[in-house]
Amino acid sequence: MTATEQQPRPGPLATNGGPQPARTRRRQVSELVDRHIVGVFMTPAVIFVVVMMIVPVAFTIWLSLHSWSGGANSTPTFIGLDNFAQVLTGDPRFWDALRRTFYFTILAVVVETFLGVAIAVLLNREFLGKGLLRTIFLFPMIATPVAIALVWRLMYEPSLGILNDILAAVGLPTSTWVADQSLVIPALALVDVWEWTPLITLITLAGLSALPADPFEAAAIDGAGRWQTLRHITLPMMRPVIVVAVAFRLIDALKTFDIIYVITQGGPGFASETLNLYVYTQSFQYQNLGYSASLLIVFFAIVVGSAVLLLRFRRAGE
Amino acid sequence: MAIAYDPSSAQWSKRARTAGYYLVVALVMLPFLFVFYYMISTSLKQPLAITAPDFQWLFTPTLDNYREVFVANDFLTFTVNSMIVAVGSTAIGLFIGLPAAFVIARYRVPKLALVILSARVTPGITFLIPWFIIFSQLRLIDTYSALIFTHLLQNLPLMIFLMISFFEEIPDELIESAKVDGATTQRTFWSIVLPLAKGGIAASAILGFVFSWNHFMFSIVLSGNDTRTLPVAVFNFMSFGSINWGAITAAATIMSLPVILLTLTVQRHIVKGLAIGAVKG
Amino acid sequence: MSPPNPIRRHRPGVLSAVIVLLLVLTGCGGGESGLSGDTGQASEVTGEFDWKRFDGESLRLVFNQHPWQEAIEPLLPEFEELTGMTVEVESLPEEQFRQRVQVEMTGRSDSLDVFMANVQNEGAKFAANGWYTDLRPLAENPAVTATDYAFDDFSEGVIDGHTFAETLVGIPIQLETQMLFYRTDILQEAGVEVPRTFEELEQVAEAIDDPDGTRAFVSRGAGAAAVTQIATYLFNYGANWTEEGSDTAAFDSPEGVEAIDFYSRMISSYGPQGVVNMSWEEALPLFQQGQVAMYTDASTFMPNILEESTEQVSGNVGFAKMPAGPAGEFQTFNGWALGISPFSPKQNESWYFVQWATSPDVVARLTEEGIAGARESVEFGDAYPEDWVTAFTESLPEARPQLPKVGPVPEVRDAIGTSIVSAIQGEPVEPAVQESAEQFNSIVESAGGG
Repeated sequence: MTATEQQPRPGPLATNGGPQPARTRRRQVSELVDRHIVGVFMTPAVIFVVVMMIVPVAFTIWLSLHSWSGGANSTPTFIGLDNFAQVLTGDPRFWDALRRTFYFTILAVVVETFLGVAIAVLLNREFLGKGLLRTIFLFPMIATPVAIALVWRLMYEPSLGILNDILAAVGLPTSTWVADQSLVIPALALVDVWEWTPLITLITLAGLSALPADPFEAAAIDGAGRWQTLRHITLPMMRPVIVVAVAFRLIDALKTFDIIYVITQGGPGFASETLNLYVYTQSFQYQNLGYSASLLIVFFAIVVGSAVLLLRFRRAGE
Repeated sequence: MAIAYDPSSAQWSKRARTAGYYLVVALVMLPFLFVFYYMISTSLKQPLAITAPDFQWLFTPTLDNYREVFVANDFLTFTVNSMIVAVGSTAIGLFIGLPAAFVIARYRVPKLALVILSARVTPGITFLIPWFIIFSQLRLIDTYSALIFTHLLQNLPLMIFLMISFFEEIPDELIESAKVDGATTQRTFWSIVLPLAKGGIAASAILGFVFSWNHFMFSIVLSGNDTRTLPVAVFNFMSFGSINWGAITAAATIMSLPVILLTLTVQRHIVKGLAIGAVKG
Repeated sequence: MSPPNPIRRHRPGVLSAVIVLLLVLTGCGGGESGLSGDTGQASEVTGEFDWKRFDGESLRLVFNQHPWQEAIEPLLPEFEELTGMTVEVESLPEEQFRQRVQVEMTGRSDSLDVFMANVQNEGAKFAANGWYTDLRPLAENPAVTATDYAFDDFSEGVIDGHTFAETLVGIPIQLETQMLFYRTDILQEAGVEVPRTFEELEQVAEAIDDPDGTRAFVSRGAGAAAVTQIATYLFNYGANWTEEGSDTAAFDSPEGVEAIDFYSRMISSYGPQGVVNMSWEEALPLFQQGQVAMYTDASTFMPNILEESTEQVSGNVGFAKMPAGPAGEFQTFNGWALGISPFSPKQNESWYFVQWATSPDVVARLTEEGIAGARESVEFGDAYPEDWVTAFTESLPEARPQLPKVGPVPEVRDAIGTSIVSAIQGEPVEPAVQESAEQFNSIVESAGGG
């Protein structure tokens, strides 16, 4: 490179020749766009999200302060915070739904995490068909939840379904599964576990394969057994990854709708009515739009609150 | 890629261990595979085989259920509807999401990423009810636009997050050297970054498609006679008199098939995306 | 290294745009009234009545999957030929049907023309929301109503039951009473007579129940769906839905608790498993397939039982009135009607369908198919089992409505339903029923506000 050369050899995208009027203008626009590249590239997405989010949230807040049945003749009547007062003090069905939501979520996610990590640890070695396995593991998460829910509904059928057949075959008493008020939430949680354990497994597997080899070699030299290695090295090192996976899964599980709606519609009675379904019923079956808006806000606050808590927890762990 | 060190494999008899291991793996896979087997086999059974008191492992297969699903119902229309909405929301999602993901990855704008994340975290129903009321006033119920935009709201954050991970994989030097050559960031984006991230883009596009295809809650309320999508149609399938499980499982199979097949084509990238996402945290 | 964030500067702009958008949208909210002069159309049409006046138009009908719907669908081409209109029918299972109509009404859909209405269930609410077109002006306008329509053939009582605040919300298409369906062969084999009282019902059930084979008794157990079915039991034990002249719950009286206890005992002890998830869609097939020997539900299922059951069942089925209880014998009724959506731009066209479907000719033909029409002139031909005709005609005149006469019926149905579900699952009945009553009262109270 000599001192007189202005630029290094032209790269693939270099423009050639001297400036021409049209080219200059285009170039100027191009450079203008470039200076504001962040703005230009981000704006459509941000505007879309802001509009699609802020508008409904603002509308919901407004609606929650009114009473409205959505009828053609009725207009929303302002009632201030009455709806919220009703939710928090006068609505046992809300508290029951809240309780069930947490019961379902925690049950499902805890089981998924244990199973998911256990399976990942089990599968964490090279073997024939590992790729195929990983592929198969995607299916439960990808298959349409409504389809899955319908199949599980059949499996849970007391007389037609296979689960009772299996119980009978091993001599255990049959169950009414989702028709049993005390069993319905665990039964639904089982469906969720079936669907999402693979996610935990896949994420954990990915994390495991990214672990450095040194600590393990050192442990082997020290004569550590498999169990010890697992407890004292593998799992602690995996903690950040697992926590993230669990956090995402927890937030999603709070919002579970499809499988509950398709299998039990919140029944029997209200035994499987989670907050999501309760809001849905209040809005689209009872038409209590103002009240359901206040329920929505509470639900939203709970989910977002849980997300924030989890983020804090994760940060604390690092 | 480091392989987790397994200190005891040297101690045990390798052959016996391998066989036993595969057995355990098979046992683990069994419950996951079984449900699919159950779905498909029931869809191929005749009504009497389904309602028989004992589970029929052997049965004479029939395509009647599939025939019924397609002939007796507007199944093709529903499939087309699902397709239109899924493709629509995915296409728009890519169009506005890829640039956004790129600048977030390159310029590290976490605050805005948070805005987009909040869309992901918020329960769908929070949007559904106000959107339902607003769309009704605007007479947009039972239109594709309503469905596409609401699906997009749920898809966009997912796609953007996945893409951020893939974009971050692209070495800075590559982009810098293009800049030195005088290219605008724009051109770099279109001509260099995108081709390099092809796999990731395909993965997020397909995931976006899958989640839109599978989406149920918004579609129950916002779709109508003209735009009903598959999940809603199949749910409505429970006919009067006795539930036609053969037809339902047939419909369920048909509904799940496209997304499973699509995922197969990009599964490598999806898994990779999960991996990156996990490690990054 | 990172350029200044242009979004920050643009934020205020974005925010104000959003606020403006929001104001515009909510401003639009209350102004639009649904009854925007749509019913005015009816009086605009004058002249001679002509079936083909609206030739070329199309209608969208939303039906509940129901024996009536099954019977009328084959006749639809006749309507199309008669009027030159085309009809598009959407028929959905009951749960989805109800929700569909509600969603479309809330959304003021203009693509819904005619729909099936269960006035006892949602009539009060829909009427309060302005979701029915007043059919009286249409029926009284000779330009759009055939001369042989015979509107007077509908008894005053029936028309009254379909009128809310001066609005005739629907024309009834069928009436049903609650009936006891039983297997004559099984009863005969056990040497028992048809139960005429609840006590006998239980004794018979005890005698014929076969836990490994055919169970004795089934009825709806799925919460809200079961509420219509327990009405007869309530009344015959001497209980009521509400106090006389008020909206306060009265079914938690000792008699009411007894009734609910009896009902749930019957279906949990003598019936198949999983009954808490059963509405008629699940219970009816059980009877049809011979898996239960006795079944109480709507009389309207008679044609399904006769035509769709196994041979052994259809050849050996008997129909009887609901048994009497300690407080006497009361029968109950319910029924479906056709309503027109006030948001439909095709008011007159829709009326054409409604009047055709409820015309003397069509009703007579449907009655022949086993659908008991609501006209007084309805005659039951020879195809009808004698015992069914007796049971039906004896029940109807004094029959009481199955559902409580309050505003938010669907919501209170859910509340009442929980006590039924709890009772079936073996939980203490009295506290459950009392809780339901409390919920009932609180729902009715808050609904009163709007």
